[in-house]
Amino acid sequence: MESIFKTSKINYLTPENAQFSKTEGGLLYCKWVESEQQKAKRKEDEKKFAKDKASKKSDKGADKAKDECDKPEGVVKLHRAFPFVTPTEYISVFKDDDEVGIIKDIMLFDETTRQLLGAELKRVYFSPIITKINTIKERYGFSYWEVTTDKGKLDFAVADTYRNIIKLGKNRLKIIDQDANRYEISDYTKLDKGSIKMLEMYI
Amino acid sequence: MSKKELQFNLGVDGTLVQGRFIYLGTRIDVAENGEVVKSYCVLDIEKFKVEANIGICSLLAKINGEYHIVCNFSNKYSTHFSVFTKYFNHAKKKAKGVGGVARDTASGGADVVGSSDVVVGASGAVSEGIDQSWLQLFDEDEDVKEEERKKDASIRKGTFGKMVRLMRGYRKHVAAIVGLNILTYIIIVGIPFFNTHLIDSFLSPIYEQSDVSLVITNLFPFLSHSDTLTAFFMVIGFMLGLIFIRSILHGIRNLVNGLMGHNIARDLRQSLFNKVQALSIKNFSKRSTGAIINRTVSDTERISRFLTFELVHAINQVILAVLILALLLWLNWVMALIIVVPLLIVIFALNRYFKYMRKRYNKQWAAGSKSTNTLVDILSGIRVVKVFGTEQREVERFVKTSENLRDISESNEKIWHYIHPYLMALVFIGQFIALYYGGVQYFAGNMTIGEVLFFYIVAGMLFDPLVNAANLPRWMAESMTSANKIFEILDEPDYKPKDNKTLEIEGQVDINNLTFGYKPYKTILNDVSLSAKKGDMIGIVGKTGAGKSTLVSLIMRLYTPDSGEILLDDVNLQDISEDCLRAQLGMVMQDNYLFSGSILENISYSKPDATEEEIIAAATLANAHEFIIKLEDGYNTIVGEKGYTLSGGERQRISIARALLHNPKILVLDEATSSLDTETEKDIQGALQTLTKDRTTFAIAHRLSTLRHSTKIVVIADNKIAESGTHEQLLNHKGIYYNLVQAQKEMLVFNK
Repeated sequence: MESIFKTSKINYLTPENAQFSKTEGGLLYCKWVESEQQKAKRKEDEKKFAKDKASKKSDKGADKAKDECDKPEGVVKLHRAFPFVTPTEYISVFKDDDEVGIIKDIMLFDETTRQLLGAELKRVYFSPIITKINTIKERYGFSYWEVTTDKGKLDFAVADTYRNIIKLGKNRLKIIDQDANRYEISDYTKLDKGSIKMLEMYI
Repeated sequence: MSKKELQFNLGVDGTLVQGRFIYLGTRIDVAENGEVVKSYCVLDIEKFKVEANIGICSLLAKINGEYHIVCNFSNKYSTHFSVFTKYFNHAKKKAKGVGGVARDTASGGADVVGSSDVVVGASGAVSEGIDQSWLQLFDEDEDVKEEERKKDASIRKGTFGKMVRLMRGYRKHVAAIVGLNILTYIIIVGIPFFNTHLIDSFLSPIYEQSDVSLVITNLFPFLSHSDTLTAFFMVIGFMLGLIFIRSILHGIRNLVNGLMGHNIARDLRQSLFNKVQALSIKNFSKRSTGAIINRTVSDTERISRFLTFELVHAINQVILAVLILALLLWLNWVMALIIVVPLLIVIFALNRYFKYMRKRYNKQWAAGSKSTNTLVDILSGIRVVKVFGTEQREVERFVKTSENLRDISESNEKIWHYIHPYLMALVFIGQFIALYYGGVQYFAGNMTIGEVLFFYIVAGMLFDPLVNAANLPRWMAESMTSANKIFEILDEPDYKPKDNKTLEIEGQVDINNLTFGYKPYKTILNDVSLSAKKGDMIGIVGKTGAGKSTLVSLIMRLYTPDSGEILLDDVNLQDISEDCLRAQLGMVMQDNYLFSGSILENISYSKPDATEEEIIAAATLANAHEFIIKLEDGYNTIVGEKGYTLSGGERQRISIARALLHNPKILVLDEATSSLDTETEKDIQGALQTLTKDRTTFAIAHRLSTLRHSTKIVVIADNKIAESGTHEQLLNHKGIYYNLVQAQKEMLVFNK
C-alpha cells in the first residue's frame, strides 16, 4: 500500500499551502502553492509557450489566457469526492478543468475559510433532504410526490419511479425527478411510519 | 418594449426563494421574495453563462472580464435560462459587430419591483445596439407551456378513446364476440330455469307449478308433464343440449377473442416498431433501449390483453350481473336483496384487500426482479469474480436477495390464505341466509322447492360477475398506464426532412456556424465552420469529449443542429430525403455492431443484392478476406450473440468491408482503426486509402499517423475548431496538434 502513496502524488490543500477568498462576483477564489509536479508542468508549458510565441508573431488573446492559466491562483470550483460518505472531507478543488488539489478536511481551516467553503458547497450542491413524505400519487406511469424537506415543502414528479429511486448504501436513498433534480433521504427507516409505508412500494 | 421576466427558485445558499429575473431593456433586476437584491446594467454584461452544478445551476454574468453570480435555480428552470443565455450572447455578439453601441447609463439603484417601468422608455437607445428580436422568446415560452398543458390534458382524455380505436379494424370480431356472449348468457341463466322446472314438475313430492316452472311450460309446451317419464327425459336431454351448446359457443368465442388479441398486439407492435425506426436518434437516445424493448413487448401485450379479454369480459360480466339481478328482483325482491347485500360487502372487502395487496405484490415483483438482476450482474462479471476470488461474497449477495424474495412471497401467500377462507365464508353466508329464508317461505307455502333452489344457484352465479365488474377500474387504470407509454411514442412527431430533395451528391460539404449541444445548457460545438471539396479527406483531432463524434454525427444527420447549417453541394442537409441521404453517406464506427447472422449478411447489410464476387472484393480490400476464408464456414460463419466470437479488429474489418460495398459519396470514419494493432492498421491503411479515394471523407483518429495524408486536419478544442491545416502546416504552427504528435512520438519511444 505504501507504494501507492509514494507514486501517486496528490496535492492536498491545507491552510499552509492554500488561501481561499471570495471574488466580487461571489465566486470562490484560491491562491495555492504549487506542488513539485505542478511546478514542473508549468515550467514545461512555459517553455513550450515561449517557443510558440517565438514562432508566431503575436496572438495577444492567447498570451493572456495562457498566463492566467498558469498562475497558481484563480476562481475555483469545489467537488466532493465522496458526497454521501464524507461531505466535508476530500473535497477536490478545480480551476477550469484541472484539479488544483484536494482539501482533506474542511475542519483543518480557520472559521472564516470554513464558512467560505461551506457556502460554496451549498451553492454547487442542491439536494434537499426529505424528512417526511406527505403523499405519493401514481398516475400513468409517473409518481407525483409531495414532501417536506430541510428546505421546505416541495412537490415533484418522478418518471419510472423504480429506476429513479437509487439505494446508496444501506438505508440512504437518492431520488431523481423528471427534471433531473436530486432529493435525498438519509435513512428511510428513520422516517415516520406513514412515509415508510408509501415509500416501501418502491424499494 | 414591456417588462420581461424569468423565474428562479433558489437563493445563493440553496434556500428556496420566489425569484424573478427581470429584463428591463437597459437593466436587469434580480428579485428574491419581492425584494430587488441585485441590479445590472445590460451594457456592462459581456455575456451570460449557465453553470451546471449538482442539482443546482447558477446564472453567471461576465462583467469586466470577471464572472458574477446572478441567480441560482434547480434544473426545472435551467432550460429557460440556457435559452435566454444563448440568445442574449448571440444578440450581444451581433451588436458588437455593428459597433458604436449607444451607451445608456441606467441607474443601478435597487428599487422595489413594480415601479421600475420608468426605465423602459429609455430602452430605445439600447435597442440600436442590441438586436432585441430574441426577446419574443419570453412570450413564446409561455405559449409553449400553455400549449403543453393543453396537450397533456387532451392526451389523458384521449388515451382510452385511442385504445378503443385500435379495435376499429376488428368490428366483425367484436360483433361476433358480443353475439356469442349474449347467447351464452341466455343459456347460463336458462339452465337453472330448467332445473327448477325439473324439480317442481317431476321430482317434488307435491307436483305444483311454480312461477318459474310456468314460464318454461309456456315457452316449451312439449316439456310439460303430460307423459311424465318422457317429459322428464326430454327436459334432461334439453338441458344437456344446452350445456353442450354453451361449451361450443364458449370455445368459438375464445377462439375469436384470441385471434383478435394476437392481431391487435401485432398491429401495435408493428406500428410502434416502425415509429421507433422513424424517430431521429435524438428522440431515441432520450429513452433507454430497455425501455423501448419493454414497450414493444410487454406494454403492447398488456393492451391487447385488456382490449380482447378484460374489456370484453368485464362488459359481458356487467351485462350478466344486471341480467341476473333484474331476474331475481322480478321473481322475488326480498330474496334478491338477501343474496345481494352480503355479496356487496364481500366485494367491497375484496377491493380493499386488492388495493392493499397490490402494493405487496408490487414489492414481491420488485424483489423478484432484483434477485434476477443480481444473478445477471454476478454471472456477467464472473471473470472478475474468479480473478479476485470473491465467489463467497457473491454467493452471499445472491442468497440475500433470494431470501428477501422468499420472505416477501411467503408473507403475501400467508395473508392471502388467512383472508381468503373468511371472505369465501361470507359469500356463502349470503347463500345460506337465502336458503334459510327460502325454507321458511317453502314451509309457509309461498315458494316451491324448485324456486328455492333456483335462487340458491343463481346467487352463486352472481358472485363472479360482480367481482369482475368491480375489477374493471383497476384493469383499466393498469392498461391505461401501458397505453400512455405506447401512445407517447406513437404520437411523437416523425423526423421528416423539411423538403424531400433528392440529389446525386458530388461531395462538397460546407458547415456554416454550426452550434449544437445534447442539453440546452451544455454546448458541445459552438459556431463551427468547415468546408470540404469533393475527394477531400478531413482529419478530425481533439481530446476525448471535445465533440469530434458529435460533429460527424451531425454530418450524418443523426442529430439536428441547434443553429447553423450543413450544406451538401449547396443543399441544406435537413432538406434532403432520408433515402437519398442514407444511400450516399457511409460510416465506419469505433464500436461496430454486427447483427446476429452470417458474415455474408453482415457485409451485404448495406447492399442486400450484392453478388458474391462483390462481397469477396470488398472483404479483400478491407483485409478481411484472409481471416474469413480460414473460418470453417467461410463467409457463412454465423457471428453475433450465439455465433463465432470475432475480435475487435475482425469486427472492424468486416464493417470496413460493409462500408466499401456501400460505396458512399461521403464517408465518415469514426476511430475506424483504433482497435487494430499497428501492423494490421498499416495493412488496412491501404484499404482505407482505396476507400477514401475520390470521395469526401471525415476521419476521426487518435493515432495521428493515420491522418497524415489528410487534405486538411482540424483540431477541436473548447467547443471550437482551434487549428486547421495540413499535417505539415500544423506541425510548423507548433500548436495543439504539434504537441499531440510529440506526445505520441514520446509514447512510441517509451513503448520501445
